[in-house]
Amino acid sequence: MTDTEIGLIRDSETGVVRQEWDTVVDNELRIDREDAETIIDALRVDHAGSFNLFYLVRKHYWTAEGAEHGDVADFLEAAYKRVRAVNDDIAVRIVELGGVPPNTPPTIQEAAAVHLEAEDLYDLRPSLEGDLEGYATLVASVREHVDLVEDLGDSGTGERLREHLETLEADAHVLEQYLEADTLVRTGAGTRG
Amino acid sequence: MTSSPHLRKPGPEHVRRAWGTIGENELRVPPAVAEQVVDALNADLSGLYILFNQVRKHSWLLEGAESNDVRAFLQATADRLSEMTDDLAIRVHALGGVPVCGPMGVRQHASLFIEPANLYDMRSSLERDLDGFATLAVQLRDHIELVQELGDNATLELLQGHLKTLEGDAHTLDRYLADDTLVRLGADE
Repeated sequence: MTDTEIGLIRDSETGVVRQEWDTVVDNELRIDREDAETIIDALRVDHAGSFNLFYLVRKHYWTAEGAEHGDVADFLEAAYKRVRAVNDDIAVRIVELGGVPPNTPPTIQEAAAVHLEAEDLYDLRPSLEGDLEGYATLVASVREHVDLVEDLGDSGTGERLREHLETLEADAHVLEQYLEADTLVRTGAGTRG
Repeated sequence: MTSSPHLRKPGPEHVRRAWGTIGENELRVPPAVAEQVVDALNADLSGLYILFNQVRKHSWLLEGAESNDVRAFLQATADRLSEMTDDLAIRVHALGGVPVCGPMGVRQHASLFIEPANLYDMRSSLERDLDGFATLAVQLRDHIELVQELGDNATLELLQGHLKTLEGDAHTLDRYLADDTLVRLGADE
């Protein structure tokens, strides 16, 4: 993160800090503090990743162009909302376990494995390829974390992640289908010889 | 300002519209007008980005006897801020611009500060939310005046609707924060 970005974050003059960023307090779910710390570390990656994916997909919903844009934008609108719901749910789980979810640009970008796109607007195909890559990164990470949390006996988190995995994989598959090389349009159709 | 190296960046041959540029629009809004409107809307988008994420943060984290009720309000207002963001971003695109869509754009146009990553007490958190709503309401009012002068009536109508929503939510926060209660002093003794 650059200095200017941190410059946007300003200490509040009034508030009382109830919990510092990057700390874990005891939880009321009777999950061992040490296990909770491990799980929170893992969830932070999925939380930050879904945060970035949310903005990535949403950008393409705003700006998709071309003959197919209507259908694609409808899908992206619904998909970005599903990613936001995943992001909210993971945040709440981090809080339940006694942690603080990433919530500023530096804390999010530090944890995220899903990358944002540069600020320009790009052609539809590379844009959607980037979305698909983002989904693939996130589902691989969530899948790994299902095993991790279930090994630690946290079936509550496990169930939530399984549900999210299903949602994210289904949307990734739709994107994959959009990108496949097949069409009803014949080469040269519309250019009567 | 350049992008950070961790950003995904398809090749230059794939760029349809470069960040910070204004292309032609098919609405026949004069380019000089479109440029000013896009600038104004991008400032609004940047503020909405910060406020939306701050409100969500508070919905995740706030604690205490009133937190359930406050959370329901914060979730609803986050949804409203999100819809507003979609509306304005799509308008920027229609006017030939590139909407603010990430940390760099937010930084360039920001009118709000970001709260540090810690968890704060409920009262000061909601006070900062109210401050964000009020700052954005003032900004939208200025922009309503601007687009009115420029004759961009469609953007005017969008902004007027959103201003009303922002003011409504600001008022709700103001009521939550007011000094009044049914609980009598010493009722718990």
